[in-house]
Amino acid sequence: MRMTKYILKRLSIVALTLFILLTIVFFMFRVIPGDPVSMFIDSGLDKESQELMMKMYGLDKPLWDQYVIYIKGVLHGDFGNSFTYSKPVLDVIGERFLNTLVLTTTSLLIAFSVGITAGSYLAWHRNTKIDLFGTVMALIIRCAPVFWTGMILLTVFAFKLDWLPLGGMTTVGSNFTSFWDKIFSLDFLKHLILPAITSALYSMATPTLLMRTSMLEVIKEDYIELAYAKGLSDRNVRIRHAMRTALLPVVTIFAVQAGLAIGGSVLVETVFRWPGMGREIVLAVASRDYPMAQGAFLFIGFTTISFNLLADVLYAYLDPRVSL
Amino acid sequence: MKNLKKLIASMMIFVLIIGTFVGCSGGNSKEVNNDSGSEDQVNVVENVDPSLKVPVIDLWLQSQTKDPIRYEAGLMIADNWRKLGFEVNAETREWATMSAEGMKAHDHDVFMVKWGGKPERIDPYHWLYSMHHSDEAVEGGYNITGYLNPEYDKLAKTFATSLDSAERQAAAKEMQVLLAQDVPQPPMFKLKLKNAYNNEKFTNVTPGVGLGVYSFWNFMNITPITDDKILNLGQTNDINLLNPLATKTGQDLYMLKNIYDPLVRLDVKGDVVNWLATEVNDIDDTTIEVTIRDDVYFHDGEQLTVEDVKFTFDFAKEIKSPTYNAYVRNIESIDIVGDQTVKFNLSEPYAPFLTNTLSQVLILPEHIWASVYEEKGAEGVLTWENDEPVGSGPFKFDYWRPNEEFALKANKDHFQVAHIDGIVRTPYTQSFGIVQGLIAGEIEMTSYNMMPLDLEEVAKASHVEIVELPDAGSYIIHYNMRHKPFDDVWARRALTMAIPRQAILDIVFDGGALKTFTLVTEDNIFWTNPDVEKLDFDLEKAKAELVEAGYQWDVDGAIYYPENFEPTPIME
Repeated sequence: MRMTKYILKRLSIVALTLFILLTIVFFMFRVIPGDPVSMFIDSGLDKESQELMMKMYGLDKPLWDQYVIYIKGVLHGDFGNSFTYSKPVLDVIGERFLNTLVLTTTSLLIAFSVGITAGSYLAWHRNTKIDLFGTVMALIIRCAPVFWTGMILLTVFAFKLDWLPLGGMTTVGSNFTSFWDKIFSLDFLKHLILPAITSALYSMATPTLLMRTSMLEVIKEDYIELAYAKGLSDRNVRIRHAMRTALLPVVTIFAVQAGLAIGGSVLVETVFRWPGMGREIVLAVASRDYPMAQGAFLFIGFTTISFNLLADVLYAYLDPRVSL
Repeated sequence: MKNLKKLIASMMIFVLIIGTFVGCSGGNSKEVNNDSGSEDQVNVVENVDPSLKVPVIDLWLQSQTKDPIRYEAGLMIADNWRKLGFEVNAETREWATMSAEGMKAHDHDVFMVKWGGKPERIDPYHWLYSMHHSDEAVEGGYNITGYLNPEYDKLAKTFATSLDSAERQAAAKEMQVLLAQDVPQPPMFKLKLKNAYNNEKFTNVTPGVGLGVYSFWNFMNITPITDDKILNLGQTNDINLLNPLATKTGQDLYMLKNIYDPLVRLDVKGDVVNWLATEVNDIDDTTIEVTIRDDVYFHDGEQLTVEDVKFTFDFAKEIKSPTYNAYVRNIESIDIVGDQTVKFNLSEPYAPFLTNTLSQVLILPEHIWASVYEEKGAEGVLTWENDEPVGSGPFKFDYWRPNEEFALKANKDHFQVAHIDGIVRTPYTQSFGIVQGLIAGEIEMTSYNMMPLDLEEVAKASHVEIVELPDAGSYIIHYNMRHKPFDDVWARRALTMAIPRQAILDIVFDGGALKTFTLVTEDNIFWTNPDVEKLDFDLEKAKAELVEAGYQWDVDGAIYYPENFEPTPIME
């Protein structure tokens, strides 16, 4: 009961946050200099044509009217048409989002399985050279710009060794009947490896370090000592007793990271020519495709906020010591 | 021991800091010397009135990643302008901002644009009429600099409306003379296009003016050597929209030109050749009769008729297509005068009607577009995505997965059949990927213009061949004659003579471009005027002209206006 009330309260805050975000994004794009038409003047849009094009996009109306029209549309689930593609924004986001989702899910799974194992291992061998080396490595990889890591991997594995493809989702010219058909093909998997590893490397440090800290806390607990006293093996204590408790904060951070990763795949997608959301946002902002950019930002805001909410709820559910 | 180490470390840091400090100030004083000391002391005034100081020039640059050429060239130009005593503030701007504030609002001081030499610009209407006639010196107009010259306007009128090509040519040459001496927005360089293709898989590459291997004729003529008859094309950007009435990018239009047919096409040199048309007759200044082929079918099997031709032009006008507006607004009406013949009635004489209108408007199937119009209205037609375009052209639409691939297949029933079976076009986000894709054999051709570094990279791969041809477009430096100091012709001439053209060519372009002093580049033999004044790099002459015009300098070398200065906008 208390939980339901809490969730309802949080949901109404989410709605308000999204509305504010929407308003800020709407005006922000219209206040910053530039518009979707004038950047094509040199390719042959004369004065009259520019006016016609602004009219075609509905940008000839006063700002306030545009805002009212937009808000009304959003309330009806209509986020407008992309200027660039002449398609409903939601359709474009839908297509690109699936691609991003495949990439981020894979990379998060790699990051968290490796991170959790490594973190607990480092904690178990605390204050040794391995621990020091592991912690420093995690920090270094975390600090390396993701496009840089990506290009290094690309240079080594694609250009020099020629083991993996240069980028994209599938080999040029291949044709698939459906999305599922595509993502379960070997060709797709080959294309997935490098971008997934690149972004996994980047998100790996958080679970590693968190798991390490959390384990260090747990190790001090009485029940660990008890487990040893019972005569359980070192490995058994580590995996069955220490890791399970230590996992709690890591599980919740997973939800938070998932929300961030969806918005944060911009650079990886650009380096690896992955046709996802991140790349679309860059294009939308650069070409001042207002409806597209607004929709995409709102969508990212929505996923981040909902995953945060999920994390909070999950924590309360998993850990009986926390009450809402 | 420990203390000693500390002492050494702190001493080293100290030395480093002092070193940097001295280094900086040393550099500065040297520059000041350069500014004032090199010239003999002409027009140097001790106590000059500060209000006479020539205002700071804001030079907008493209960011280094977006266009390293304009960035580096801009810095070199700024350096040399400073040598004349001008204060220059060179800063980078995003293209969207620069275009809105400069190209459209004309609120810039100075910035550079790389203007494409599209085939429809071979008739120099764009360069000479649009970019310099006073009618266009309004917000959103092409006269970005704000050049106002009644004598020029008169010539421009003749050039734009006369149907006598000798008369037009004479006017064009005279206009180029005026522009070269007034330098309202001088052209600086024209590129040599360098495109690459895989010579082990394809031959008979036919690059066209302005577009290089992206030319329609290349897609028609390129011939496969092996059994792989699909041409894999790598470009930096994806196409966006396949609605010919609403798209705004050249990338879309050049692909659409393979799917749809216009009445005439511009050949590899930019000359008009008949395409759907079999005959084009000028009845008088404002009446043109066009006869079309009777063996053309749309991809869905319907025949292309004169009704479709009339419909397309009327329709573009009626729904106010931004893409076609400039082409169709001079058309008053179109009459069908025979089974295969239509008559265009123009509201006023328009000399480049063939090159700019008939070659650009793609003929649409009435049976498809009329029903879209019925269903969605005018606004709906303009926002229609036309996801599976049905045209009559030598290539049919196959599929498009945005940001991944766009594919066309050859139309074997067309009156002119291509040698390849299809085109697959992949967008690569960055040039780095294109170059590597070419080497790895993932793609076989690109119209990306190879930079010196890329050329080094592909030199290692024997299967990559470079085709080179001069571009008809140029890098133009757009001054703003509405702003000081560009309102004065002497300042503009001096600043133009301070552009280190040869140094930029050698250092920035690495030989990949040529100097140009007229907007109509010299390969455009019919229209160009080679005998215009050439204000090449000459700091001494620049300074001399400034002195002549009365400009003065203070002891630090900064430039000032004379007392009671009145700018001379154009040469007498």
